[in-house]
This record gives sequence, C-alpha cells and structure tokens, in this order.
Amino acid sequence: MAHVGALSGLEELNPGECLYLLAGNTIGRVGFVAHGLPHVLPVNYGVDRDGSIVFRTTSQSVLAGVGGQTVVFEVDGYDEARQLGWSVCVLGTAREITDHDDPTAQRLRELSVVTWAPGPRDRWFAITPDQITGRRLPLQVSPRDFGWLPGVVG
Amino acid sequence: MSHAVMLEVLDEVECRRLLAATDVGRVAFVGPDGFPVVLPVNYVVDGDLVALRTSSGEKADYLPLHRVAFEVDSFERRNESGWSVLVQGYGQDVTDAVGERFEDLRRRGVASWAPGQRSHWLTIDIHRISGRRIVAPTGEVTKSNWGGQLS
Repeated sequence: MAHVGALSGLEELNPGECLYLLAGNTIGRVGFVAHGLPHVLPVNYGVDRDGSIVFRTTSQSVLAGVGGQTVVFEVDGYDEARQLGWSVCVLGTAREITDHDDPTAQRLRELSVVTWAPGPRDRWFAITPDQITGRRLPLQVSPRDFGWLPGVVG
Repeated sequence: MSHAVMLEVLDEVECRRLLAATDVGRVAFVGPDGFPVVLPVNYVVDGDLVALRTSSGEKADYLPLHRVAFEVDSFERRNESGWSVLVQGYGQDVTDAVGERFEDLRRRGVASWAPGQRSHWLTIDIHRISGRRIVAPTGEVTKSNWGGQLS
C-alpha cells in the first residue's frame, strides 16, 4: 500500500514505478556540488535495468568533475490528463566510464544516449544508484485558471 | 537560418526573462545526510529573489542560510532543442521577516499546484545566474514542454 501524506496527498512511488518513469524519459537533471556550490544541470540520459543512469558531457563542462561524488539525478513531469505531477530521484555515486573496460562500463556505454547539445560529448559518466525514490502529487487546478501569471509577482 | 545545432550562452537579461516566464523550477540543496537533494517547486520571482512556499520539512530545514541552487528549463522533443537557467544563492526563511517587501510578498502569494499546507516562505537571492540554449538547426523558437507524461 502506497504511503499517502494525510495533508498533502503526496504519494510515494514504488521502485517499479520509478524505473518505469526513468525509462520513459530522456532528459533529466544532475544535482551536484562543485566549488562549494550546488549545481543542477540538465542532461540527455540513458537508464540501465538496475536504474544506473548514463550521461555524456564534454571536458569543458563543470559536470566532467563529478566522478567519485555522490550526486542526485532528477526527472519530473506533469500528467495533464490525470492532474498529476511526479518526480523521481536517483541518489548514487557518479563514476567516469569513458575508458573503463570492465563489463559493466562496456554495457553502460552501449546504452543509447543521444545528446542534443552540439559537439563531441565524449566523457561518459554513470550514476550507480544507492537509493531511488519517487513521489506523485495530485495537482490543484492550474494556477492559470484563476488568473495567476507564471513566475512574476504582482 | 543556421544549419548546425548551436549551444548559446545566455546573457543575464535573457536568463532573468526566462526565469520570470516559467512557473515550475527545481530547488537543489545539501540535505540532512550531506547529499544533494533536488525537488520540483512552484515559485515566483520578486526582484533579486526567487520565492517559494513550502510546508515544514526538508526544504524549510535545509535551505535557510545555506548555499542553494534553483533551476528552470524547457525542452522541445520535436526538434531536440531547449534551454536551462541556473540560479545560485543563499536560502532564507522569510516566513516571519518584517519589512514592506516581505509583507507584500506574503500577501501576494505563490500559487501552488500541490495541495496541502504551505506555512513557510523561502527565498533564494539571485547571486549568480547563468543559462544555456540549444538552438535547433531550423532556428525555431522552443515552446514550453515541461517534463514527460506518466503513461
């Protein structure tokens, strides 16, 4: 039985639902700390059957420094028909697999990770999951329905 | 018209415009166990502040007086383009902050999609803001296309 928050209606997703949602998307965000500052950067990604996340980047990106760090990977979405918002987070250790020859690294590099950003994205990273969590929220009517303008106060 | 995909670095004016035109973002902070946490939230922009409401919990406990990040993005699957903006600054709990500005902010409110009690007001000062845009070869402007579908 899924846990449902009494006040918020927030429902925790089970691992199967989390993996399903991860597999059904291709853009997520890596949250990490660099130079003492939290960062969140979107990436195209692939997901392995155990929930490992694979993404590519360039040596010029601050993302190329995440090897060995504990990072979080986030995907979210909005299901308009069912008035649901959801998000899935994968917490795990990032490691670079660009030049690794172990069977896991080889398998992960075979995942389809089509990057939209131009240029060679030749640094491959994998996030090995320690914890996968997800939540689903019933949404109220869209704020736009009562004349609220997105983003701007006043 | 360009025939190559381009990665454009956005200037501050464009970053602020995109930040103000969107209603869902993701706040990132270092959580109780020292690991990063990323959570989607509704927000408003008020001058140099990103403001959000939350119930008591992780966000209320770990944003104030810490360095936090706030991210918004939008992607268009059809032509594989999109943009993202990253804000970095200090979190502050302004639930009980005095002064006209915070009183105005609390009066105006942040419309939230999620039901439930949201008793805390948090802000992030826009200390640093940066952004990127992937421009499709056709030069088409991207539309808002937040996230995926559940089924």
